[in-house]
Amino acid sequence: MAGVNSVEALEQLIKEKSSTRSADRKYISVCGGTGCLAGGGNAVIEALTEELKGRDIDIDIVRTGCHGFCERGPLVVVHPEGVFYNRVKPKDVPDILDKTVKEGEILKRLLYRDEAKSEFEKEKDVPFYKHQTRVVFEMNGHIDPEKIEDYISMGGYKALAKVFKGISPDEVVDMIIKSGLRGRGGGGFPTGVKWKSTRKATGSPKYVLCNADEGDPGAFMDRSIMEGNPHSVIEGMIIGAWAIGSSEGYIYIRNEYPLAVQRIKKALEQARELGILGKNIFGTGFDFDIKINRGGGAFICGESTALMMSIEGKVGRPRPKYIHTAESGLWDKPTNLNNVETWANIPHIIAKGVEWFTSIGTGDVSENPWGGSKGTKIFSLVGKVNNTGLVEVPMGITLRDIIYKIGGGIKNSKKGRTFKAIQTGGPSGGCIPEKFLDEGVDFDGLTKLGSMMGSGGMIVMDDMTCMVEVARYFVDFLKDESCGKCTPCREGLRQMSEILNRIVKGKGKEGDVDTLYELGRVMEDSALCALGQTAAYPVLSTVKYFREEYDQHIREGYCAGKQCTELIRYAIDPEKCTGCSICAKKCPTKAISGELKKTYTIDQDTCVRCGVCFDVCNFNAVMIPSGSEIKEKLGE
Amino acid sequence: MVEFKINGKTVKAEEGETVLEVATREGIYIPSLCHHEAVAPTGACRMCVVEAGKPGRKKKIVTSCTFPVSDGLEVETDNERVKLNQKLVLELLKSRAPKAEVLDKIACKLDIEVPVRFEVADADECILCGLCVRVCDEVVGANAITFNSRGADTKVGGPLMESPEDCIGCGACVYVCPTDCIKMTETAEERRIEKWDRTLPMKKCVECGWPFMPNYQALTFRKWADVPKEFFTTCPDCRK
Repeated sequence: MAGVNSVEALEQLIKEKSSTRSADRKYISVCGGTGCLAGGGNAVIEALTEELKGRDIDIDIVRTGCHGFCERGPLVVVHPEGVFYNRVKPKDVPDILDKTVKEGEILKRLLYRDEAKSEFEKEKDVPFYKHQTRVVFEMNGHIDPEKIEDYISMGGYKALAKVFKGISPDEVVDMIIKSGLRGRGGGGFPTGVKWKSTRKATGSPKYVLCNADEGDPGAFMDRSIMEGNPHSVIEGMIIGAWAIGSSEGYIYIRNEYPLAVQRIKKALEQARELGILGKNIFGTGFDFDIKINRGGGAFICGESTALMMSIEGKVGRPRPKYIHTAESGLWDKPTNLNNVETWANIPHIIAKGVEWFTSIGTGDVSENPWGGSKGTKIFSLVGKVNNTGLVEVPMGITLRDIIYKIGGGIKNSKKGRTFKAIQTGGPSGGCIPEKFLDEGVDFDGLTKLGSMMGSGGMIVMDDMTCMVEVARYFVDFLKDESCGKCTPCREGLRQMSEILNRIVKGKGKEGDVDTLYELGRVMEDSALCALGQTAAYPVLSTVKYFREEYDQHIREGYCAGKQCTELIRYAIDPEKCTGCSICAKKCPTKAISGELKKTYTIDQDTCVRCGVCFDVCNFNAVMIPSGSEIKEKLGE
Repeated sequence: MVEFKINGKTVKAEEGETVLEVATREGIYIPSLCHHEAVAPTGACRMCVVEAGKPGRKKKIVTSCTFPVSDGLEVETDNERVKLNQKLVLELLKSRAPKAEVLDKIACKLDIEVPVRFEVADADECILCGLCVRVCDEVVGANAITFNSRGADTKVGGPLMESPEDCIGCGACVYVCPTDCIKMTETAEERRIEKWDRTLPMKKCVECGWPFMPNYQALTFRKWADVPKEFFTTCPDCRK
């Protein structure tokens, strides 16, 4: 696209492009996010392009970024009606074109059905979307992330034009402070306050950084923003640089996100061509450009100072932050680091105003940016819920609404599965039990419950989840990802891991829980960085809310979640078994034997306790005794 | 100048000084392991933790080696919370270096009885304080050794745990190691640092024949330092 050399020209361009996007524009939006691509999305996109060639249909095909509902991919939405098709295969494409697009006929077989078998035609009516408030993700399902004109046509770079037109850097900083925007990467520090410190700090150059080293297991909101709407991050960073007085920016992306790297790279080139990155932008004397720094995948490099060390080419280990990075950060220069989602919020606040932003969320930030949590937050909802995917919700929504309204409730509830806990905030978050499901989700609320917002991971756990095993899993993850610099984190996690691995094997000792608790407290107090300080949360929160499970493991060799393989057996209930043989067919070690239509039995010596028989049995005939139940049921 | 309180006593200090520096000057004992005046503080071992904060604000556990003093700050170096942290740090370090005398000395000085609950794993007596790495980089300038791997598997050594080609055999790492886990042996011909798997031939004094410095060290320092030629040919005794 041809460049522009003044604010007026940019405004004109925005006007022009916006007029091309009317409410009745006909297009088929196909999700090209990583989840849908993994589900065969590319073949659907190719089929659409091919099939359209031979037909006299006037419709655009837009390969968009992630729509969020990854569980149901590949997703196709026919606009302007907004007809929503899920789990689309290439063979469905002719029907979509001939019937839906041409004749307006709804293909029932491709519609989304919830657990109660209700059908939904329109995307906006699907419960997964209906209860969301999409701000950062607003454009994701509508624009081609590789086309800057698509972004501009939906109001992109409008905020930037507004800033260049006449909002001074101080005013921008003030707006962000007043908006109450807090860091989406985990810390929840007021963004505007951080900007102000960096603006005030002396030293040159000043750096603005984007933390795109998303590493929490199961979290992929930053990836989806970068893959689906890279210009929103870039626009946020340019506005931030203008406000702070920075001339150089870096986006630190983990290299395991090749598509995000590629999209950001392309978007940066387009922004340079347009003239909004480079020297003396629009003759204002403001220079700014952004470089991409690809991370090697160490979890710790998502920590601000470790990230800066890594950009400097050193081993990514955190430094003490008693002198803030706003004063001495990257190469000891004033540095402002924000997360992808934080940056992507900036254009919305500038374009729609502080009042609009503060109308969403909790608390009162008019006097103090710490006074509440404003705006929306994207969560990656995973685990034992029916609808997994990325959900953007207003701060303050209850956990119950997220799990039941958006998430569609607990998976396999018909088989008797019930909610047990929800883990928020990534590996160092805490597990929240049922009694707190009506609490609002915001920065301070989650902290009060012994968990945290973190970058927005949400893992739903059902009654067949062992909370000790959950703690063990996350502690082992963090043990491997700790940088190894400070004693409490490096050695504390090693000892916690030893103890937890012992407990899940039924070899726990009295006093182990107290030791875990003591280790956790000291790590929280004296570890160097946030990773170490919060690393014990999975342990501390499960000890707090599910202490009995620890005691049962230690004293009775009993695992309530029936997950700890050394404490359980699989056995077939002769009264319920119909002799259908499905378990015997699926058993990977051929441990199940019997005759058709008679009772089957499991040979304990051959059984590896993988649980396949339990999952496939349609008659609830597979029992999982643990502790004293083993003797009762099996006579062992 | 700033004025602040340490264990209830009001003290004066220069702006930019750390709590550890001021406490040491005031004769208040704070144990430390990864701290050395020759290198920049890093806050790795967490042995020097104290409780600090401004009046009316929540007090935090901080490392005194890196925490700058400021007006009105209140520091406590030996309350219950600090002791609990020190005790556990010592216990954790002992699971890595059970024989290190320095840990017993600190426990003795602090009058802390360190429990033994943790399994000792891979005890090479190295507590990963990183002093050797920092001295090699910041003081010597050789930057020959580094941290390999991460977390509990961290090991100090040459890059990728191979014998470090840039090691000049100066022995500064041996000198600063608080647990004495870096051993150096010497014959008339060679100097060897076992931990780094590095052996270097020695240079002999032209006057007396004493092997006073590894060849490679002489060669390297010659490039860096502006000193008389005799420095590299003659041992310190004969130079006098």
